[in-house]
Amino acid sequence: MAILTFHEWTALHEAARRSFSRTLAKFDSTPARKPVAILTAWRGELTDASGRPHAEAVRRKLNDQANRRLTAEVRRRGLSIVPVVGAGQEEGEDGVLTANREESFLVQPVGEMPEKEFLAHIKYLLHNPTGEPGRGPYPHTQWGGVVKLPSQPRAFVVHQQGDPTGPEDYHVGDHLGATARPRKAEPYYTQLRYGPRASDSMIDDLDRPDDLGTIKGLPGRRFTLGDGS
Amino acid sequence: MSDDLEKKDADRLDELKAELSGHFGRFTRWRALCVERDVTNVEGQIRLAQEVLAAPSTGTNAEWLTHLLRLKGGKSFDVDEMLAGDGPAARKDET
Repeated sequence: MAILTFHEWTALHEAARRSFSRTLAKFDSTPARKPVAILTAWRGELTDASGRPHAEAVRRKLNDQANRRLTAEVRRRGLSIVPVVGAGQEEGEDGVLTANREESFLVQPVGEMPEKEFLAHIKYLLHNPTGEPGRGPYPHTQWGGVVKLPSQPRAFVVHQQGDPTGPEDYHVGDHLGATARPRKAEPYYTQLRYGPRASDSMIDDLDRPDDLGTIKGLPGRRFTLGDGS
Repeated sequence: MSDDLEKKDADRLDELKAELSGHFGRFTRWRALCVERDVTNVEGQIRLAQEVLAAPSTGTNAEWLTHLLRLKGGKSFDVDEMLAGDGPAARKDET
């Protein structure tokens, strides 16, 4: 039997945790062992003190800074974090598609954690992702995030309804579905930042050369949560 | 309504649709609202477009996805009640 060094064991464990099949299994309809969520501190609309939208470069910089603080908040709560990219493609007037990509995270408990406790963490992180002092409002407050709980067959978006005053306002759910599968042409998906390049069937014309991809600068594998139809 | 007025409203609606499309998620939110409130006339669609443009938005995938799910006929539920009981409970304002 081969004996691994701690560094080798950690590298193998990390690689397994980030593997595509293991990621899909986190969202499977069969009872998973742990709850899981997809979160970000990124915002598409981010305004300055006078209410004007920031320039694109500033918006991305502020969003990146916010995500670093979110990472610290997640780890401080004893949760694990794996970077992914969340993507959406909105169909506008005359069928014109607009793509939106957000640096995001898969979040899970490190050890055992009751669902309600996990959800309470997620609600707090959605309301105040950067751990700002005071009662808010906070600049990076989120609309919602994706959650899959072991007791529930379907993943769902948990969200507020506008102007939240606390984590308790994140109590509305909208079902996404009971399957996680490789992305084909669905307008929303999650992209891994580790592992092999995405197959061509997962990619489409809206991909741009400057899109975020894997750590190696390639489009990562992508999956979509849905109803399996 | 005269042809001129109808044309003016149609042009205004086109302007608002273009403005909605410039903010990720708002066009879908507007479409979902039109379906939920059964608004099919131009005046009503203009009013809803103005409402959506004036409302706060995060411009995130999660927000857009919520409206897309509703546009496809999905019904919201109360997460806390679902965890307290045996399954998803429809929200009180939707039953």
